[in-house]
Amino acid sequence: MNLLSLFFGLLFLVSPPAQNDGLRYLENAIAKFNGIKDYVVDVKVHLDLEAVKAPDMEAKVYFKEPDKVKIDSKGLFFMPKDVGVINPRKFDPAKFLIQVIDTLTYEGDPAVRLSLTPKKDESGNHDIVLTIDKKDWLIREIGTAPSPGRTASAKITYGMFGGFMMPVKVDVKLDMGNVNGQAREFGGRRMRMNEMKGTVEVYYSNYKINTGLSDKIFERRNEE
Amino acid sequence: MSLLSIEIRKTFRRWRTYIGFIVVAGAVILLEVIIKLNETRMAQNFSHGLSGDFLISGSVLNAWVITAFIMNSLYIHVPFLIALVAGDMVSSEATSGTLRFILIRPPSRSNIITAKFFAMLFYTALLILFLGALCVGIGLAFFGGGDLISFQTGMPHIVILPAHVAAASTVMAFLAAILSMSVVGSLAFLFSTLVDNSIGPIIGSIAVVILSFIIGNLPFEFLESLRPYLFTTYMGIWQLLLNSPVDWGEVGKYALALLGYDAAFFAIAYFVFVRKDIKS
Amino acid sequence: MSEAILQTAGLGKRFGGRWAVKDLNLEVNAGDVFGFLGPNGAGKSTTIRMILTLLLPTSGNVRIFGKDARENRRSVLSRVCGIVEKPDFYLYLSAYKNLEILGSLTRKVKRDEIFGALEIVGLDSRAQDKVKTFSHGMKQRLGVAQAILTKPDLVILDEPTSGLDPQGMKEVRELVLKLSKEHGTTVFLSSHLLTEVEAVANRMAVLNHGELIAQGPVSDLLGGDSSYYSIQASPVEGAVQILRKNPWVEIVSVGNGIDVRIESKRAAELNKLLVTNGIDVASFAAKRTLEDYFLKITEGASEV
Repeated sequence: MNLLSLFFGLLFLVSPPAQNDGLRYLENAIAKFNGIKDYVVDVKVHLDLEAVKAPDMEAKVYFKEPDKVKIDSKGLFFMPKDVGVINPRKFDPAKFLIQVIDTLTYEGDPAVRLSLTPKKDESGNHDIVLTIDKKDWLIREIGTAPSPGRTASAKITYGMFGGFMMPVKVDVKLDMGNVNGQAREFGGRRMRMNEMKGTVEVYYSNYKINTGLSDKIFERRNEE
Repeated sequence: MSLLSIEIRKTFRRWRTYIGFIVVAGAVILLEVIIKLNETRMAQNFSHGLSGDFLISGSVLNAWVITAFIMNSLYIHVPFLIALVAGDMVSSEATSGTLRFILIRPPSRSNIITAKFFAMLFYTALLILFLGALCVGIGLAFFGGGDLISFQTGMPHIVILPAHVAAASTVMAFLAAILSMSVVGSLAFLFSTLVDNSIGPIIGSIAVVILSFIIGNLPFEFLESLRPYLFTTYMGIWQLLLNSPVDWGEVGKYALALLGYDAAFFAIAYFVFVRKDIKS
Repeated sequence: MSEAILQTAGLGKRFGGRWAVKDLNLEVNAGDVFGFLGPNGAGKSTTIRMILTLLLPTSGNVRIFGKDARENRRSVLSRVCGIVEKPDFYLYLSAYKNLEILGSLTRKVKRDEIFGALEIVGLDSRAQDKVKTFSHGMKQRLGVAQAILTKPDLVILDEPTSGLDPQGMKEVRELVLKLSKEHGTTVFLSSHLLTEVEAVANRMAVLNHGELIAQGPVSDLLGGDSSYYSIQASPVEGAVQILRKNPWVEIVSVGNGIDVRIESKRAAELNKLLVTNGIDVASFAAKRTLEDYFLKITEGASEV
């Protein structure tokens, strides 16, 4: 064993575990959102899915910590659940096993890719991959695999609103391929989910942050 | 009085004619009340396929969606109501003997059969428009308006038509449905000229419709090759008009096919009737 | 010579291998009340159906008002109306509505005309009643009403008294005579009752098994003034002896009663003759059934 290998060996031993690094990165990203108690934002969704044809949809989205969401729309409105409303607090570090799976340069800035594995094996829980920009501690990409073979990823672009970096655009890519035979009902019609493939663009504008939204706003259901 | 107005008056002075309207009214009111009473669950069921992955807002259940849903549900039942009257247009007069009394009057047989055919089309149109008006009317009262979610057999599967387009699309769909149902009427009308009893044409035409639906939907290669020749294949024309954008080429193809069947059934009925010996 | 309003030339209809009507040559003149006589199943209705274009003839043709009926259907049928077999109506409509609809197929009919036709047949008080509430006799009368509603030049009535009670039959016969005498309408009337034809018709044709047996003036065909009478007398032998002494009496048969053929105008004389010779006459009745008539003209034919 030469000195060099001894150095690297020690370095490995004294390095903090990946879980701790990942936790720190995640906490930093969540901290960027800490000052936000509530917000209202105008959202426009443009769908480009193989199986669903819809006009651009508009809604006003209300958010209140920790995770209350209310959507108000004149017409029918829908947007991807996991990646449509960006709320880093839902990635509660206590609920996930966090691992750094990659370090990278993201649009010229250093970044890290984290894997979040739910600790509880419950229905609806699934692995999440976050790409966090280490310069601004912003979540730049979210990737999920709701079930084997189905993936959804979102690339988030931010803008400054009232002192907070908030999403202005989320590009969602849905790929429900490799699920041959799996079908879902929609309005009584069976639909093969591998046909739910394409992109969704979500645009956010006109943020009103920390206006003290009443809880009453969130009492009515979204699906009316 | 023109021959057509005479035939229409005769048709609408019969109790049988109103069975269709009563059944349609009953079915639509019942369905809409049931949907209203189970609105939340129905809305969840309706959007079940998307609610797992999407946040959904807005009225999933509204007049336009319910109307399309009911139209889809009554697809197989309405032909029976059409056949009930169309299958009786000529045969009932043969059975009752009144055909003799008409045919010894000056109007030609060709004019009489044509007037009867158009009276049948008038009934068909009125029944479908009644169905549409009732669906939309009660739907608007119970659920209000909104975007129309339509389900297509091809791609895309789900089409959302904005509220301002939904009304016009629904009207077009119902006009297309008239064309679609007119073929069932024409078939029953043809059968009506072949026999001197009313039950045969009604049951016969419904049997043909059901058989065609079955043949057209069974997943066998041989049967699939028959699909282009079955009139039931084109009866879904109204659904094409709830697409975005509307494939007008396909709509035209379906409409031509349906008109072709209408014309063919009428031509045979015409030929049979004009040459028929009136023995009843 | 009267104008021929209705002519059939070599008219025939075959159903399968059976001729229902064969080589029929009829001629009905303007103003005639033409009796078309024949037993049930003789082919009378089939003939009427061919005349009114309901059946396509297998052979021959029909000319009405000098025109081929099929080729000039509209113009011909605008001047003809009738009843084919039993009168059938829209049972769910009133008598008035039925007449309005049927009449308007020929021409525009006024309310007064409808009520006028109903009045003629005695149904004006039931104008607004649905036909399903009508008796058979009332339907027959309504059938006549629809036939005369548009005041056609030729009325064709197929067994118009069928199913009627004696009073109803009498009314229809009177109506036929009224149409002919007061309106100058030509009437073609089919019947299986010789007495009916004799009572109203001036000319007649006789059909049997689809073939024309005889055609001509009623007086000629029914043997001028000669008629058959059935006499119930006692003693029969005595009565026969007296009859034989009178050459103007033809004894047709002797059984329980005596059937004779005499001139109609001498019936009373014969009755008196028997009574004055001490014969008890229980009944002295004219006997004119279609069967007798067929017997007569068949005999006549065989004699030729």
